[in-house]
Formats: sequence, C-alpha cells, structure tokens
Amino acid sequence: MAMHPGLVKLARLRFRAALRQAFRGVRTVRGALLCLLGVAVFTLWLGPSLAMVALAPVEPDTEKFHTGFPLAMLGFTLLYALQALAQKGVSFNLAEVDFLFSAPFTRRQLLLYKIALGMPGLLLLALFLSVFVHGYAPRWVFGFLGVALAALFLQLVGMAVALLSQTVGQYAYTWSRRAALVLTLAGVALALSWVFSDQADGGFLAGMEGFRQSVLGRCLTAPAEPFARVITASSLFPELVVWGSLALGIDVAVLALVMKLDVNFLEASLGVSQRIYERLQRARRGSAWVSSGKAWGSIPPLPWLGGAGPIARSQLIKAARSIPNAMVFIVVMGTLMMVGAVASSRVPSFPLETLLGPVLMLSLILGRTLGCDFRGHLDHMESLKVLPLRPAAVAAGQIVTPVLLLTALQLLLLAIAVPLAESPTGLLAAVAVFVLPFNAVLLGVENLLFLLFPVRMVSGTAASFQHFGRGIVEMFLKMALLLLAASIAGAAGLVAFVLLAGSWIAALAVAWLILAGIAALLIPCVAWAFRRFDVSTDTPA
Amino acid sequence: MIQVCDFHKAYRETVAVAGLSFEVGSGEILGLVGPNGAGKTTTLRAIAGIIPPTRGKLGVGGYDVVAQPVAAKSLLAYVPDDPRLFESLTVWEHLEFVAAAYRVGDFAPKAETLLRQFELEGKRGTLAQELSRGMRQKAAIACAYLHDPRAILLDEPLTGLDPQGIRTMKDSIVQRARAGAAVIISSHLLALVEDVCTHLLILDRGKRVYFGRIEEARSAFAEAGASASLEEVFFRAIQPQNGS
Repeated sequence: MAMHPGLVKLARLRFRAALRQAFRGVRTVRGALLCLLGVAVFTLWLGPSLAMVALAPVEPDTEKFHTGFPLAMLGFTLLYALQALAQKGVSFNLAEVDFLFSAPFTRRQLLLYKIALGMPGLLLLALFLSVFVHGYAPRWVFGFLGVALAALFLQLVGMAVALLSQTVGQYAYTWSRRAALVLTLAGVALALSWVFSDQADGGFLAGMEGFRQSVLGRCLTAPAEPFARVITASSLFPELVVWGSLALGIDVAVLALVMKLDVNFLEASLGVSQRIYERLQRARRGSAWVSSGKAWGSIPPLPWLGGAGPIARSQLIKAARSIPNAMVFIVVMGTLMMVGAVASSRVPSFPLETLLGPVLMLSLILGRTLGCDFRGHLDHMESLKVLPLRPAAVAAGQIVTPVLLLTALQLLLLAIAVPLAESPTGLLAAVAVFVLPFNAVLLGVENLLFLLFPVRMVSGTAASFQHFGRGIVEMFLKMALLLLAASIAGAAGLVAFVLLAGSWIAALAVAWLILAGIAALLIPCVAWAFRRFDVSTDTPA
Repeated sequence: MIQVCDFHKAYRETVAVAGLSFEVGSGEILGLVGPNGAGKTTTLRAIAGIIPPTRGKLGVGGYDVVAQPVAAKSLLAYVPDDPRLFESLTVWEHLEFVAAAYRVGDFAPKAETLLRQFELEGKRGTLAQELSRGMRQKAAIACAYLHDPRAILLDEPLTGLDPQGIRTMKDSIVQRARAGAAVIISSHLLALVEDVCTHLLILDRGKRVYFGRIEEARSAFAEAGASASLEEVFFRAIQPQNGS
C-alpha cells in the first residue's frame, strides 16, 4: 500500500522544517554562537565514540549477546506494549488531528504516515545505540542495521497493541467483560512469574538464563533472535542476508497486522492526542505534575510579610497538587540513583559522598519541574507584574516554597540513607544543616538566570542546536555561580577555623551564615531581574 | 449537501447527541447554536468523519461519512475551534500540503488570492509558531478554502480576528455559499449567526430544540415577538430545558 501523495508531501515538508529548526537562530550573533557551541559539544560527545567504534577492532562476545539481547528485547516489547495499553490509542500531534483527520485519507494511510514520520528519529536512535552494541558487533554497519530493525519492531508492536487494545476495549466495555480481561492478563502474568521463579534458584542472572533456555522463554524470545543475529553478523552472506531477511520479515508481518487491524482509531487518537497536548502544555508552564485531584492537606493562611506570604501560600497549594505525581517521580528516580550509587561502592554500607551527586541532580530536576517559582509562571508574568507588591516580596514568595520543598525532600533522603551510610554522624549533621541555605542559593541562582534569559519551549526547540547550546551555557553559569557561593562560604569558614583555634562548630556556623547571607542577597537580585523582565520579549529561543 | 439523520453519540452512559436530524443544502448557511456542552462540536466532528456516530446516518454530497469517508471528506473542509497549525511549517507550506492532500492542481494562483483576501501576503514565509491567534485562524481558513469545498464546517470562526478580519470572514462565508457551498457555523456569537446564516439549528443537551429558517424561528417562538432578536429567540428556545 502506497502512502498518499499529500502525506508524502507533508512528511517531506516536516523533515525539511526539522532541519531548518535545528539551525534556526543562526541569523543573530548570539544565536549563531549558541548554535556553534551546541554543534561543537554534540560533535565532541558523539564523534569520538562513533569514530572509535568504526575504526577500533573488537572481539565480540556473541554468545553472551545472543542470551541477553532477546531477553532485553522481550522486556522492551512488554514495556512498549504496556505504554500503548496505558495510552489507549495511537497519538498524533494536534495539528495532525486538525489537518489530517478530516482530510481525504484512509486510516491505513494515516498509520503509514505515522510510521514513516518516525523513521528519521528511529535511525538517529539506532545510530546512538549502535555505539553501545559495538562490543558485540563485528561490523558496526550490521550492528546499526540490526538495532534499526529492532527499534522499528518495537515501534510497530506498540502501534499494534494500541490498536488491538482499542478493538478489545470496544468489546470489553462492561464491568464483567473487563473483569474477565483483567483475570486473563493476571493469569498470563502468573504463569510467566511461575516459570521464572522455577529457574531463579541461582540468583537473578541465573534465573534469566534459565528462563531464556526454558520452552516458554525460547518461544517468547524467538522473534528477537533474528535481530540479535543481524547485529552479530560477521559476513554479508549468508549471515546478514539470511538473518536480515528474517528480521525484516518480522517487521513486515507486524506492519501487516497493524494495517489489517484497520480499527477506527480516529476518535481514540483525538482523545489521546488532546491528553498528551495538555500534559505538554502543563510541562511547558512548569506544572507537569499538577493533578486536577484534591491537594494533599490544606494550607493555612500565611502571615502577610509584605505580600510574600500569600504568594508563597499559592505556590504551596500548587505544590500540594503536584505531590502525588512528584512522589512517583521521586521514588522511581531516587531508587534508581541510590541503587546506582550503592552498587558502585561497597555493599551494604557506603560513604555518604556517593549520594551527593545523585541528590544534587535530583534537586536540579525537581527545582525545574515542580513549577513553584518564576519558571512555572511564565504564562502569568503579567498577573504577577500588576500585583500591588514590591518586587522583592514577589521574589521571596516565589522562591521560598521550592526551597522548603527541596529541603524537606533532601532531609528525607538523608534520613533514609543514614542507616546505610558509613560516614560519621557529625558529617551527616553538617550536611543536614547546610541543605537549607544551599537550596536557597540554588533556587535564587536558577530564578535569576531564568528571569535574565527567559526561554519558552515550543515544538521543535528542544531539538535545535541553539537550544542545546543555550542549555550548556546555562548549566555552566549555574554551576559557576554555585561554586563561587560555596567557595566564599568555605573560605570564610576556613578563616574562622584558623582564627578561632580550630573550632569546627564556629567554622561551620560562619560558613552557614555566609551562605545564608548570599541567599538573602540573591533576593534583591531576583527582584531586580523580575522588575526588568519584559513580558513582550518573552519569545521562543 | 449535508445530511444528518437520527444521529446519536454516546460516551458510555453519557449521551452527547440524541436523535439529531437536519439537512443543509447547497447555498445554505446553517447557524449551529446552543449552550456549552450542547453537542455542537461533537456534531461537527461526526460530520467531518473524525468521530463515528453511535447510531444514525451522516452524509456529505451523497456519500456516507462512515462507509465512504474518503469521498465524503474530499468534498468538505472543517476548521475546528482554535485550529492548531504545524508549528515549524510556514503559511505557504501549509497551503502546499493542503493542495497535495486534496489534489489541487496549480494551486499557487488560488493560494495567492486567498493570502491576499485574508491579508496574509506578508506572512507567507512566516512559521506558524510566530503567528498571532488571529493570523493562525486566517491561515487555517485559507487552507480550508483552497480546494473549494462543497461543504464547510466552521467552529467559532471569528475567534481572535480583528474587525477587518471579521468582515472578511463573514464576506467569505456568504461568497462561498453563493458559489454553492453548504456551510455550517457553530458559534456562541448570535450576532454572527443573525448576520450571515439562512438557517438555524438550536441544540440543548444533545437534543434539537429548533431547526428551520432563521425568520421562521421568531414565529416558532411567538412569545418572543416578530421583531425579536435572535438572542431573545435563543433564550426562549432553551428556557423549557433549563427549567426542567
């Protein structure tokens, strides 16, 4: 089945537009410099890896790969399937919904367009991943090809599951039918876990190996086998031709299934696309986690404090609405980071320092995504500007909530880490005490930079080199300012330590006061930046 | 040109539209009005083939929207409320795409005329993401008109337009109808409906309250008086439902 010429035209126009977007902004000196920086860092990051894998000879451990890759593929297939089930439809962006759904295209043509549009991204992903599988691929090109075919398989499986679930959903709309469906799925999950646990006596890896060798394991991972063989192929013929044809055949078979299903997905896609759009809009406003449900607890009125109190309270209410979703993120990310940190050190105990990096990273992500400061108010800056309050009060009110939230989170993480950490109690106490002023400085710096160099995310900017370069500059500036603040506080503490006959307590107290002083000084700076913020120049990067 | 017969749309237990029937002939302009949640957008989306009806028949130019969607869709243009454009495409690229989608041969002269008509000449190379709300609306309408649709569905077409834009839009709707197109305008702006529409369909909670010629609406709700404004007619029409 051929794609409609109109959809081919649109795909070509969008591809051209994506390239244009990637280098957009080079017309200005600032844009050109940022773009150049983005390209340079991108090249420095990926270039050597690609050059190394293309030139350096490897002795591939294909046996290990043939065991692990199909299992990983099975895991990813399940993940894609679950994501498709949760999404309840094939998603399109809203422009596609508005222009394509009422246009004279068949549903199959729309699906083909959707698959074709994903191809450049898929090939780029394959290029990245080919670096990681190079250790198992005698020829990089074959590795790239195998990964690309495997990625296409996953994309098609996700689409097939979304369409299948819609078909099943049409018949399973009653509670009894839905219960029967859930029971069937639970039965399958139970059977799988039983097979797995039967093999898991020798630990996780042995369990996986056993599962892979079991009849069920071999059946489930069989479709992934050809992709693994393409990646590890050492010759064009017969290996690549035979296994490549088989892998391609599997992709074509799933594509045929997708086309055969021909469900009327437009209405479901409309709903999914609208939901995703609203989620993206919330993320753009810095309110990605704000749920429409009831807030956790009620926030009592705060003292006036020149107007900072009511502003902080409104932010706290917003934060309370973000807590359920933020908690999921914190638990998942926190667990992953902790596991990573602990695994790289001695188990069961580890030095506290190993946690500092992950916690700092988590704080940076949380500070940005909680949306409880100026960054979450980009669409409402005019409303903030017309408030009859001094800019300093607005700035203080905006910053205090995320500072308190981050501090509470970090103290919680610290409390969890204490029983495992082998660091002295005094060090733990010092870290706990410094969390508050450090967060105040961090959020002050972040808000200051945001108000001085505002940026609005629009579709496509994330992929532009200019945006990439801007992100690097911003991160560099942020780190430099944080380091400067920490150095000043540290130097003052050192002076106090020397002058006061080696008193650690005095040194820490002086350092704390200096850090808190820097945080306090940042408030008028943020207020100044807020005052000079021009809502009319808030344009996309 | 547009036929809707016993159209039902239900979402599980919620009934969005129930037993709606009406027709819009060539040259007629139907004003679709009703309170929020009356089922106006659902009706337009169903005629446009975006959502399937739970029951009933929908036709455009004699083609069944469900059974022959491509043939039906090739005759119509649908401009939703707050139309979204492809952010990274220019206005001209949108027209290029629409021309290819509806197989409009030699589209350039037509596109140029539309750009002139909607004062978009200076914006042909501008990216959609850089357009104001009104400009986006105009660009979407220009795209919709490019293939000379026989059936036009407009959901709140005046949103974001300046006075000149509003006048152009109204004129263009009347011109298209005179050229033989069947037009449905869904709007809360009763003055717009009164100005340009030949027929009126009042919906309330998914049900038809009135369908007929605009002039006849006044006599249908006699208590409003022969000289009553459409606004008065509208409130008379939905009053019993609100009271129930």
